[in-house]
This record gives sequence, C-alpha cells and structure tokens, in this order.
Amino acid sequence: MYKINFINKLTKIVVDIFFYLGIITVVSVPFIIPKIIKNLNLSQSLILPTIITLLLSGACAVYIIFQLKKIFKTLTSGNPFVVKNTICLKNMAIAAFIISIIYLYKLTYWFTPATVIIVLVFLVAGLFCLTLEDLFTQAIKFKEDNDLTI
Amino acid sequence: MSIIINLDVMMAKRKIGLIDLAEKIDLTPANLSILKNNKAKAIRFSTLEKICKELNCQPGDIIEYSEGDL
Repeated sequence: MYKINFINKLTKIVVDIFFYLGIITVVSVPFIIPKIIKNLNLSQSLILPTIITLLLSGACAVYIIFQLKKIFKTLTSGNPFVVKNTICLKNMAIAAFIISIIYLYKLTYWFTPATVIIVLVFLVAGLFCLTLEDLFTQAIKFKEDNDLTI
Repeated sequence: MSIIINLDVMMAKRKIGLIDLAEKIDLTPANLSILKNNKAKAIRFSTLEKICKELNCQPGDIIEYSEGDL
C-alpha cells in the first residue's frame, strides 16, 4: 500500500493552489489585460489577441493541472497504474501541444524571446507526457502480470 | 491456455475448503480463488511448494498440460 509522505502532501497542496489560482487568473484575464496594456503604453490593437491567447492557453494550463490532480488522486488511493492515468497523460500532452501552437501564433503578432522559450518548453512537456504515457502503459502490463502471479 | 489447474479436485480429495487452505499457505482467499479458477498467469515455486506440502501431493497432481487451447 502506498504511503503518503511529506513531499507528496506538499506537491498535492501546490497543485491544488495552482488549480484554483489558475481558474481565478483565467477568469480575470479579460479585465486585467486592457489595464496592463494601457499602463505599459502598448498598442491598443494588442488587447484582443493577447486576451484570446491568454484565455485559451490559460484554459489549457488549468486543464493540465486538473489532469494532474486526477493522477494524484489515483496515486494517493494506492493504485496509480491504471488505464485512466494513461488517458490523463495523453490529454496533458495534447493540451501542452495546444499551448505550444497558441504561443507560436502569438509570435506572429508579438515576438518576444520569452515566448519562444514557452513554445519550446511546452513542446518538450508534451513529448515528455507522451513518453510517460508509454511508460505507464508498460507498467500496467507488468502490474497485471504481477497481480496474476500467485 | 493449455495448462489446467486441478487444484479444486485435489482440494476435494483432501476435503479442505478454499479459505482454510488459503490461511494455511499464507495466501489471500482472493488470490487462491484466481489460481483455482485458472485465471492466474503464473505460479511462484514458493506457492506451489506450500500447496504441495499442505495437500501432500506432487505438482503434477495440481497442474496438468492438455493439448490445444481451452
């Protein structure tokens, strides 16, 4: 049986905080962005594309954290090697790729080096999730073999 | 699979129930049931040894090979 240690507890709390803060941030994007752009004296034409970019990518990020929460739930319940988790990892990979694509689009109207980094980071994160998905699929097979060895 | 487990036959011969046997060989009844119903994918030598010892039989009395898929 899985034992919950301090690191797992801390990670779970951090993930929970990120999840709820993420929702609040995404919801407040349409209200905050126009003010920030005005304060920074940037072009007003950036408001709409920036809001769309941040809303879409924010929703994807919250979705990734939601999937992570689901994985954590199975981990703390003692059986993380289930098909459900491979589906979660696949969804996380898809969401990461979507974020990557959204920021690629963002580069076309507002190029910053940081955005390039975001694109690369989420691309790698997506690939990493797909690798983990493969790993979990194999682990499930091994677990099933082990469970059925009496 | 063409390997058949005849544990139930042997248990009937020795007049021992599933729960009793499971307790004696230190296995959960659920796991022994998987073995008895031919659902297991493998059996550990240690488990086989304990069963043979408890039922006073040979592995061949419990495991049987039959031609063709079941």
